[in-house]
Amino acid sequence: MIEVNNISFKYAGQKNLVFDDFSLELKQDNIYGLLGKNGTGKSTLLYLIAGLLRPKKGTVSFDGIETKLRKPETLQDIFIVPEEFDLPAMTLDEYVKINRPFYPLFSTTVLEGCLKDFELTSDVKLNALSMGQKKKVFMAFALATNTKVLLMDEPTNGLDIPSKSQFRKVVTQYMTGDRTLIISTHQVHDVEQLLDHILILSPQKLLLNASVAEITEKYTFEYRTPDNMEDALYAEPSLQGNAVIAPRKEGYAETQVNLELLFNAVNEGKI
Amino acid sequence: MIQFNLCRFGKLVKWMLQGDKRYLIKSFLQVLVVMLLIFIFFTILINTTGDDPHGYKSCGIAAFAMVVVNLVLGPALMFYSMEGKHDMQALMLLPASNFEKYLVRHLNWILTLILATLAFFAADVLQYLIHLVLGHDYVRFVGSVIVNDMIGPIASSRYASEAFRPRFIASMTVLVIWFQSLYAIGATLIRTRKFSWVFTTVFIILLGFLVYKIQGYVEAIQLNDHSSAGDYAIGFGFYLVWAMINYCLSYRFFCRTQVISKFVNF
Repeated sequence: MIEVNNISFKYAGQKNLVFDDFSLELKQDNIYGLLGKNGTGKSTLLYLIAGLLRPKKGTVSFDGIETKLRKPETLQDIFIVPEEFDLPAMTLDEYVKINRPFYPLFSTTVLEGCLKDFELTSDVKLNALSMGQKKKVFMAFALATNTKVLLMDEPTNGLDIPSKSQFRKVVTQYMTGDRTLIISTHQVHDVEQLLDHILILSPQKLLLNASVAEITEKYTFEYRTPDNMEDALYAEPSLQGNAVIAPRKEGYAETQVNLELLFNAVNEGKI
Repeated sequence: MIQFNLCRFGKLVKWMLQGDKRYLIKSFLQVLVVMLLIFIFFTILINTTGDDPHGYKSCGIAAFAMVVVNLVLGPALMFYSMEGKHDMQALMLLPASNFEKYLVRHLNWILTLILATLAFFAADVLQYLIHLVLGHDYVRFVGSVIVNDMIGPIASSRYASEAFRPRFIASMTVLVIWFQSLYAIGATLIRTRKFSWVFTTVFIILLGFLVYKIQGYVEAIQLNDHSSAGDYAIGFGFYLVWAMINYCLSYRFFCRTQVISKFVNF
């Protein structure tokens, strides 16, 4: 569906390449979590997928068409919610009226449902909203476009505590069918229950590219006492004891992924 | 391959009009106020003498100069209404073709020019009414001054020659298109949208020196009334082809636009 083939990319005026001969394949009907330290190229990768940036070498294509060409057929199937954005000085109704004709699968039902969950109305003035409210409105619009690919850069930044659970609710409810969502975030606890697949980036390369099912099948995430650490692959002290990643033993139940622990383990090279 | 769909372009025009509504209204009001102030300044506040006793000719010159500058500089302002990278991002991500988006940005400056012309007429009517209220018997429309006192004498002089008039009008048209094409390149190449016209003007001045130097040796690029019909045709074609190449380049730069901050859009 989305193929990133041997791309190289660097920002003008910078010495280091953000990506060098980087490849990745993303399949439909998945919610991907894109994780990485600051400056590893998470947002850059989203912009490259959306066609807002152009790789120096290699190709990024969606259903076989290069996204940098920004063809209407491609753009009506890709929507990005950037970390920072501006909305025009108009009401949401007006915004929807001028933008929805570009998205053939746009659903008013989804929009209304999302707005209801986010406790917003469609007559809000976009330029009078707080950043968190703007984000909720834009995410509601993004979900309503029903594009095959939805890219979200730090979607929970700026959201208050109830809004974070509202966000999880709307994503679970409306990311249905053959849609793919790629969430780039540092707020791992906000999204860990949503994800089907984890991608961890380090400068220029992919450290981990595995489905949650594969991870939970292979590893166990639990809290242990210090005298029970013999098979631990990675451990961190915590208030509940040591947070541990260990190989999952046969016959043992699968545990829920502790994304923060997994991220640290991968970055330390323990997995 | 260039993609164009009339229905989608119509949607894009609506999108642009709605998004730029405030900018267009603001532009109209700005020109209206500036024009009105200029008209009042020349016809009421200062005393002009000689062949322009009531200041109307000065108003005409000022208005005519503004129209010419707006006409020539127009394409440099094609992204002027866009606030920054977020607006560009919204445009780039809209499901329409690059060509449709490029055309709609040209439509934006053309619309601004039309609104500026309407603002000129509105300011002219307002100054007329103000003079009537003040009881001035020398009241005139600036538009009529431009037509009768400025264009009229030119039309009745050397340019009245039946043979030369079409050549003059065609030369001016092709020169305006050529200038506009250079400003179109500036608008898509230089990322500082608000000041792309400044950098392009500097470039055009430098280019002007170069063309002036070459002109002595290459007769073919002359567009004046001394050149032979053949030379004139070559010169005309030369500027037109150059302008077309500039527009193609400008479109190519637009297609390659990225949402990262750099000085030029390569």
